[in-house]
Amino acid sequence: MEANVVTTQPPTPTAQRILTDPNLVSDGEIPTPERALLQKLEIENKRIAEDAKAHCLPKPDKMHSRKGSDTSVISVTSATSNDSETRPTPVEEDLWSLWGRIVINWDSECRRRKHFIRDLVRQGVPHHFRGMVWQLLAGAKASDKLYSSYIKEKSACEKMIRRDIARTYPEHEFFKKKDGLGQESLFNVMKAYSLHDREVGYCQGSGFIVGLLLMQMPEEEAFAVLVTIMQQHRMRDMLKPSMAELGLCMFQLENLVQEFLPELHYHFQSQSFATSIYASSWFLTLFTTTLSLPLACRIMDVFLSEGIEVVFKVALALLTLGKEELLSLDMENILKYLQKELPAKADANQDEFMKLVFSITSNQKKMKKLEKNCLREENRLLKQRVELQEKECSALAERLVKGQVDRAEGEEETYALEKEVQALRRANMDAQQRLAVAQDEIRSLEMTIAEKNSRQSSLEGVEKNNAKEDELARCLQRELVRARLHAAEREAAERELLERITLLENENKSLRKQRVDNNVAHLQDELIAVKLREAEANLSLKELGQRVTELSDAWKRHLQEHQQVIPPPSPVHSKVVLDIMATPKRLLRAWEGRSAETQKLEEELMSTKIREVEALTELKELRLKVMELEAQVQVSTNQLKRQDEETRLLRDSLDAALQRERALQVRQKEFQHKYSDLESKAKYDSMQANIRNMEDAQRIAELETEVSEYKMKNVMMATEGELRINADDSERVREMQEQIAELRAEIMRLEAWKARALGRTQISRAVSLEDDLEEDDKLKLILRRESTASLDLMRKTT
Amino acid sequence: MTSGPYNYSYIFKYIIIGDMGVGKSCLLHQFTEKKFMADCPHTIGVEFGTRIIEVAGQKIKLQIWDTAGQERFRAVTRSYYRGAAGALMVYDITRRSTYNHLSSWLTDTRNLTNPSTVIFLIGNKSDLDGQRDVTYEEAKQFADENGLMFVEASAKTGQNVEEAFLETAKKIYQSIQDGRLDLNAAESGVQHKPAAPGRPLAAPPAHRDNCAC
Repeated sequence: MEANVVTTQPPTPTAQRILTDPNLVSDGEIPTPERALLQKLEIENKRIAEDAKAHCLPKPDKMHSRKGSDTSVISVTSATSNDSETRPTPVEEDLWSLWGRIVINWDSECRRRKHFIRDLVRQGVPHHFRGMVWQLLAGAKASDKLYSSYIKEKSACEKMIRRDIARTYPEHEFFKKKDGLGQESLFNVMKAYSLHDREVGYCQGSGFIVGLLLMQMPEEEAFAVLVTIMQQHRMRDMLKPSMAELGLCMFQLENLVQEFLPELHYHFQSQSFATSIYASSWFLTLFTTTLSLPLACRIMDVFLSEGIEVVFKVALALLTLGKEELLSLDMENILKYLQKELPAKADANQDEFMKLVFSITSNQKKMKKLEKNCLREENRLLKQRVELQEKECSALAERLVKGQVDRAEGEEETYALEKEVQALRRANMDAQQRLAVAQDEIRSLEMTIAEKNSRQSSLEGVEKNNAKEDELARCLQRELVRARLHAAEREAAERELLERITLLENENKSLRKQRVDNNVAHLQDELIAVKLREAEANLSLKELGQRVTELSDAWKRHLQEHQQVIPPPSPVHSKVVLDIMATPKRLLRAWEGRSAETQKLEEELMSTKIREVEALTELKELRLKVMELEAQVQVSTNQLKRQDEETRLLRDSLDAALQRERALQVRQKEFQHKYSDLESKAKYDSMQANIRNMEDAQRIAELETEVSEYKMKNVMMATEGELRINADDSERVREMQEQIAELRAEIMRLEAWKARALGRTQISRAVSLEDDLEEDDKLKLILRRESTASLDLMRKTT
Repeated sequence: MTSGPYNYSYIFKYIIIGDMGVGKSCLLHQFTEKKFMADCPHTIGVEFGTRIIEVAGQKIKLQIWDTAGQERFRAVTRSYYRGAAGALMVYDITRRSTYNHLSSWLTDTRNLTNPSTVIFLIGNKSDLDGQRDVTYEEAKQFADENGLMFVEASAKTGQNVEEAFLETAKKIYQSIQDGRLDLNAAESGVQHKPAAPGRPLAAPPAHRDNCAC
């Protein structure tokens, strides 16, 4: 792994330049004893490097032991450098030894020469020390336990991380190979971090930082450095899902640009070129996606020692470097320039650029103030947004309620309309029924009228006329003529009337053909008309009857008169009357003859009169009929008119109803639309909920695996506990054995003592032997008792 | 219309949106460079590309903003929606989740752009038909229901990529002709470049750097 890095990154020329800086040289003068020590170290390093080469060339990442101490890592880095053809120049060697010393005594050096180290870092950390120095600068402590546990776990962000792995430094040798070592370790570290810090999880862009770290150090160390970078240098807040910190940084940078490069600030504003367009990636990836890797490494050196402030400084330095060009470009070209030409320009002279960076002084207080301002601004904006959204929300709620009310109203209206329509239908049916009834009635009335008419005519038919006096004869004759004239006239009138009747009847028929609606009022009208006609007919009937009686009376009177004067003459005598005029007999005869003639005339008169009466009655009858028909026609036309009106009204109401129905349908459609909208929204929501559910399920599964792991651990611990109990037993056994040994030692001691006692008896026989023997027996007894007790104990323990 | 310092008469602003890894940057690269960029680093924040096209005899410069796809970048990318004349909404036909998220992208687009903004739905990776997870018909229906233009494209083969960008431009141009799109409105996303002399621009269209999408 280290070897890769070395080949892709030629050693920076930093080392040479260190000496050109008089400041540093005076600072970095190394005392001779230390030099000697460093040389020893170097030799040691060489030895270890050869060892390492011999051991693990096929697996370069194993070169560092994971738990390797500081020195081992350094030795490896320096060893690999010896591998490469660029042998360190003496100056570099000096610098390396200086760094080596610092690294070894990091804590004390750090305390003692804080500023010196900072300045040294600013000159650039020698490439081979970077891995180590970064860890030290970050104060990272690799914890292999934590890391390896993360490696085993599954992260919810895994998919996302995988998607971006191949798209992180895609052109870099180390990360190029699909599923190669580089990609795999990148994935591991990213995944471990997403598990370590679940709130941040995975954020696009952090991969580039991790990649840069992995170019310098193995996975675990990179992970540890990443954790500290995130925690100590605001990066964590920057990468959180809300990315609020990024907005703050943009605000601060914008204000700094305004302060340091006011022209550029106004130019950017005039081009509506927002800070976030160009600077987001600078902050999120710490320039790794913008600048060349060596320069990015140098920035990382300083970033780790001085913090996020450096990013602002580098950003300002970049803008200062390109200020003149930027001022002459428009928005599109500004972006292109910032992405291409400017990084190249900075890269061309890295040290100059870094000097420019360090020449920028920032004011902590000012930054804090800016932060506050930004927060205030943000707060204001958020409040505005909240207010706006609340307004929108309430408006929407209102609209919703209104819509629902409208809908309910519409539904009610349609219901009412339906009811109305039904009522109208029923009324229509009723009217038709009534019409039918009325027509029936009309028919029956007509029948009765016809009956009455026929009765009337039959009454009229019973008549006879008679008798007229002689004096009346002439008058009668005149009357006859007149009557005939009248009759002729009447006949003409009759014909005329008949014609009219037929006409009216036709009209009536045609009228009747049309559907006639009826009404009670109409029927009453008609009834009255009919009754009137009836009364009229009765009146005329009476009149006629009177006339008939009058005539018959007159006739009777005449007959009586005639019979009183002369018996009714025979018609044969009349001729003779003229012959015998002179004589009284003749006169009588003539008279007789004349009376016969009058009689004849009278008869004729009577018959004509009867005929006249007949004609009169007929006329009256016809007039009545005409009247009746006329009335009927009027009634019918009235009826028709009313019906027309009614139909028109009905049609109008129908139209209105249809219109309303249409409007309602439109509204219903609207509501359906709204409903479908809501439904789709609901669907979307449910979909999202499903997705969330699935995610939850996944997490549950993860948790379950975790649980099972824990169970496993539990079992293991249980077994361990058992084992420990066993161990306790063995300890007791050991105790027993020790006790036994002690007891044995005591026996030995006692025996020795006994021997000594025996010797004493031999030396002085004066001492009574019996006493001695007794004592001996006592001791033996004690020993025996003790041994049996220990045996008992043994038995117990087993 | 080549008189004056501009050799185009309009600038249309586009925005490309969609979930991470659907191929937004690759579509942009395919359109501006006419080649597929296999190893394209993932986008942080926004990227940017331009190309001059011709619609109805008018030279139009497309100014295309390519955004980061991760959910949390939406807070950053939202500011780029403003004043977009065209929005290309991309999903991956081999990943249903990217299709499922379209409605939220659409909501964002509708809320943050003006009503005349043309929204074009692109189902990317049509070359991977074997791994298809979203049918053409389904997406077409979604597009029709929401009044979007729709095409399935492949940034890899270049299929339909040109069409998507050009059809969007045609529709925008049509809106201008119909007077539906107000050129004077700041949010229209369209700039009319009169033939009057302005500040000389260093970059003629022939000179396009490799867009770093």
